[in-house]
Amino acid sequence: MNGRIRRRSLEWAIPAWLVLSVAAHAQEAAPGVGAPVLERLQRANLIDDYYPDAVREVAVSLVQAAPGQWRGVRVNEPHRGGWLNIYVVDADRLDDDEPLEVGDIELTPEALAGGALADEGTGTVYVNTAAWKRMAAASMMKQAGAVGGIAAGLAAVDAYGLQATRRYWDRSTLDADTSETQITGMLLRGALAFVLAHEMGHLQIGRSAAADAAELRMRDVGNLTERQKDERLACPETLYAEYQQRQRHEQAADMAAVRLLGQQCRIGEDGELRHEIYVLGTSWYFTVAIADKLLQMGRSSDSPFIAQNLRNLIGAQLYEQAVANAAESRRTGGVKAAFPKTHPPDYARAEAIEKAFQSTPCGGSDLDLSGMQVMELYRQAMCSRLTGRQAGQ
Amino acid sequence: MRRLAILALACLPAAHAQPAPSQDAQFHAQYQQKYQDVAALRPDMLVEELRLRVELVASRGSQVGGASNQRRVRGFESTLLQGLQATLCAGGKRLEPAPADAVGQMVESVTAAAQSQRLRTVGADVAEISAIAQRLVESQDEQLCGLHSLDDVR
Repeated sequence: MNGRIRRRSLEWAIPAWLVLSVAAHAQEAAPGVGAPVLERLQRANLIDDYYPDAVREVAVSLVQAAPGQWRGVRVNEPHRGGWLNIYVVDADRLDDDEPLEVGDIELTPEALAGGALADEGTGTVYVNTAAWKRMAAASMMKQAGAVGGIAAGLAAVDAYGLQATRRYWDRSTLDADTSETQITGMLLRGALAFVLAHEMGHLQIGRSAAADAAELRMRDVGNLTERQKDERLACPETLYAEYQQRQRHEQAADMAAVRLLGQQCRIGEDGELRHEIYVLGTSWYFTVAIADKLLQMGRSSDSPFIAQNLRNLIGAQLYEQAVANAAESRRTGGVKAAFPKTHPPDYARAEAIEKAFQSTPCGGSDLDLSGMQVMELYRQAMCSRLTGRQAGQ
Repeated sequence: MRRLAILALACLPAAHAQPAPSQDAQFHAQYQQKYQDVAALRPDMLVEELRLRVELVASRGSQVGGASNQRRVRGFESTLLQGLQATLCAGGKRLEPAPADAVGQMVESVTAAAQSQRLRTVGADVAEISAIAQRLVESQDEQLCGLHSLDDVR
């Protein structure tokens, strides 16, 4: 997927980092369910002025794909019912031991780690700039040739820290008109579009979307080896039914996102280009997510095979700094890191999204997903072995 | 011990802020169901199950990507273990609580551990986590008082 994106990116060196400052419309605050949210975020010093204009512009384009759903977009403004309310926050400023309760949810570094979080109860989306700065720095390093690939870029940010790598994510760098910043800008803008569309999908489908789930009784998976304990985490049918329901709920939010993204070619004069950028960025989001999970697998596994592959991928020095030195004290296995229990695997999400794009008015891309299908076959075989063996006991 | 724990459920309301009878009955049913479900698990699998169940609570929310909640899960289990040892051990020796108190004490320890991590639990969470933790305590006997962390459970 990486190579394909790079090729497509180079073809698109024409348009620039499309950060067009859209003047924020001054809106009078209306008393409502979330009126104090902005004040609370400001008091906690969480609001971060990192590309709020780009967030607004992308959100406006997505809102246009759902006529009648939202009256408009408000970014870092007092909450207003009926509008898409977005707050751009820096999760690195959150206190680890003191989650901030806002509206119907709580903000924690973990909840915001993916880049954004939705509160269906108040119609609010929180965008985490810490995650975006990390992605921006890693993407820019790759485009500038400072590292060999996106995994090495992420490892470099993790090893040296966001402040030390500031020149790769700061506006003063990204706003410059170079081919590297143009490509990085497209990738980030498209990834942001997917993330916002996913969270807007959550707002559209609400919390009540029920899903059937089959939970194997615990006696069927009662006594596992250490390896099987890890493998089990890739098999939702062996976990609590609520995990399966959440995975299906997240899948539904992805499909709702595709419905917003897949109409962009018909909106505005630059719709075709915007659609291409959003499709590209969606793929980039998952490319980064998969690279990130590879690093996490290295930190949570003592497998020499994984270690050697990571050394080859990011280099021996970065491996030591970002993986070996950051390894968990108790390495219980890499599967846990690769397969989050609350979401379908990244490759499965990317594949489902790509298929869904084909059915939208704007169509999809021509990504080669055969590698992803192999991953899913491998997971299914692993789970069949696990549950089959247990059921036979 | 299992019978004692089930019998102790009759005294469970003491651990809650005056739940309605229907809620109380539901809590009892959820506790008992989970207590039975994990009956055959080895102690180390009970720890796995406890972590999975706590992470279920810690990971709630509509975020775009999954993330590890290990920090909060670890914080929960550390506080829970300390609370249980404070309640059930003295001088490194195991105290046997009065049967009527066993589950109530467990619910208190689970609630305190959840509050320490600001976990938003609902009744089913507390009931099921308490049931798993109760099984875990029953599997440990004297060893409970010497545990430094749940990683040591074998």
